[in-house]
Amino acid sequence: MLEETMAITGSKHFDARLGSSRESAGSLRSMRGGRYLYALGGGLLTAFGLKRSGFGGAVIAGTGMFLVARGLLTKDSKRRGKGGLARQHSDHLRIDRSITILKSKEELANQLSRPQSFVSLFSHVRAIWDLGDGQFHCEVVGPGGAIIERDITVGIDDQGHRISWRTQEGEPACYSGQIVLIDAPGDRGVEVHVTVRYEVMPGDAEPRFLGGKARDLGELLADDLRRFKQLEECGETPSTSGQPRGRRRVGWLGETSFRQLSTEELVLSSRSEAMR
Amino acid sequence: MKALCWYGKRDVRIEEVAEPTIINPRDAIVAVSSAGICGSDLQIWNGRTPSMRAGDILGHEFMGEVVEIGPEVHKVQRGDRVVVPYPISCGGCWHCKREEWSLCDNTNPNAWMAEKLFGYSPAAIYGSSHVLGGYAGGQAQYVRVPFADVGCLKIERDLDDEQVLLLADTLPTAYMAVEQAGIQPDDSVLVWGAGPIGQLAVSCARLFEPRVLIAIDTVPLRLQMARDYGGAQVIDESLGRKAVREVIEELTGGRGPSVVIAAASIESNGHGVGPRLEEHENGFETGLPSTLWDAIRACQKGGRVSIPGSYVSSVEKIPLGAAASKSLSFKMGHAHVHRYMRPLLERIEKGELDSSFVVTHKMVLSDAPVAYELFRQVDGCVKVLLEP
Repeated sequence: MLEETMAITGSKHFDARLGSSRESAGSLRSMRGGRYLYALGGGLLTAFGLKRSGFGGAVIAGTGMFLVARGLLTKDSKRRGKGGLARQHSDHLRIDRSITILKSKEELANQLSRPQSFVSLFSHVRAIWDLGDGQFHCEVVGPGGAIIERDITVGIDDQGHRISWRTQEGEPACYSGQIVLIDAPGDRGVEVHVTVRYEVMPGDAEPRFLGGKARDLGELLADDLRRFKQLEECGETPSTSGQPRGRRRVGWLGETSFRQLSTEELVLSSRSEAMR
Repeated sequence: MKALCWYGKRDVRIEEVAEPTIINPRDAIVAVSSAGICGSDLQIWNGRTPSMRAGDILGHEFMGEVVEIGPEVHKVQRGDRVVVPYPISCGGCWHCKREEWSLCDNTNPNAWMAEKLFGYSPAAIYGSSHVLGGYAGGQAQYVRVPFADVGCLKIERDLDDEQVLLLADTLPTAYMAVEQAGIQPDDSVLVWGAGPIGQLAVSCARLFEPRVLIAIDTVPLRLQMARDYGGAQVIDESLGRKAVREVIEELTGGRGPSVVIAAASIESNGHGVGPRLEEHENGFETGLPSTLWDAIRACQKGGRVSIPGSYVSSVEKIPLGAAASKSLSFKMGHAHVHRYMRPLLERIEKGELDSSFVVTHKMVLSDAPVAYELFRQVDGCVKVLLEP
């Protein structure tokens, strides 16, 4: 499905999770080279130390053997698991989120059929302008409140069950993503699966910023999906903003008012009880 | 308006705050006529509930008169006298459609916070922590009621507040605890803890006509209430662990009760039968509430344990070995109040059920800080109603 979407947007293929194989392979070669150097240098030191007698020779030989051992026993980073490698050398960011909404696919597809409607559905999409021919200009709020503006190409399949987008050629950073609607099991409605991807371009500083903000991006996306579900299922977004609350500073009357009830207060409680 | 605001552990104050306004089209504003203090309010007061913020208005059990409605509210009108269920439910999500109202997907504006703590967010609750939405509560003169069409139960007959207020929380909570235990006529039912929920659990269990109905507590007044109003056989927990065990066995033919309703929250005094609740510096509970420990031990092999008591954060040292070895079944959860309000109101109107007897104190809202201390410290205080 991912590859199909990328084909729709006319992009080159890339591995969304493991990072660039070219860069990773280069790093791996470099690490293997380091291991060989350790082994070679250690071997030479060992030989040199063994030729010398006394305590000094023993120390040099011992150091050499340590380096040989390190060269032989150190594992490739590839063997540490793909997570480590991806974190260090990833050249793209991918976030997947999904939510289930108690509506039909047709109802949701209808809501999502106009990219301009994203502005009311998703709080982090600030504005979208239709440039014609499937091209749009959009403003989204990124992590830390950063405003990101891009021209994007949007593709929607015939039934409206898959919407994909990708920044246009020449944009300073390559964003892409898709929304896929799938029937949920039983009577639970529709699963909405959203994927957002960011691909590093050579010389691009933005991915470093975004890479560190991946968690924030995931939370932004989760917030938007919750908001979409709330709007679809109950017609509004529950809020507590603007509700009343106390205004005194904490500790204004001391740290705590807790105390054993006094006789007067017990009388007071009896008086209140008498209201019955 | 006057409202009871939380400022810290055992520190609540009456303050003048702004009156609530309509925020969303499905909101209503209710002028509160009565508000109850619940055991879970006591947990908040005692600093055991995470994510409270200074200035939060307390109270999730309230009723009153609708004084303003949003443009999308159609089922209630200004002037209607209503009881408001404590879970805030949207009415449109999958759980609401299945009448699992306390599991509503949509009403918690801080769902992200609840997801971190619980995995998934339940419905929001008035006057509770920010994990559960941070909505202003009803221990105030006015309160905003979101999704008023879904939540408000109109009271159209001439019934006193104390007869119907507990439909907002305590009575449906007790009824659900009984219903989900699946009581049959041959069952022996033990209600451990005879506070407000325990008392009403006894009354509700009586409706299912179990063979044996037992209530346990340490407070003589509460035991007397369970005997007089619920027709239960009562055991004084102060007798000590061994004696309590012997009486239970005597009343159940040596088998133990087939249903145990653990009706005490973590604020219960738990007089020394099980391990005691300890308190961390951060206010979270550790150890094990003795009631739950006792409930698990007392329950018959293959029996059912129903837990209406309020637990917010983690509880350690649950005796799963005993539960597993005896093949116990557990049911628990926040009550799906909306599901039970109308049928229970009908029972109240017919005189089949009365919850007003648990109300031992009525106080004016201005006395609310004292009321909390009274509720905690005075054995004879079972339920306090606040009147703004």
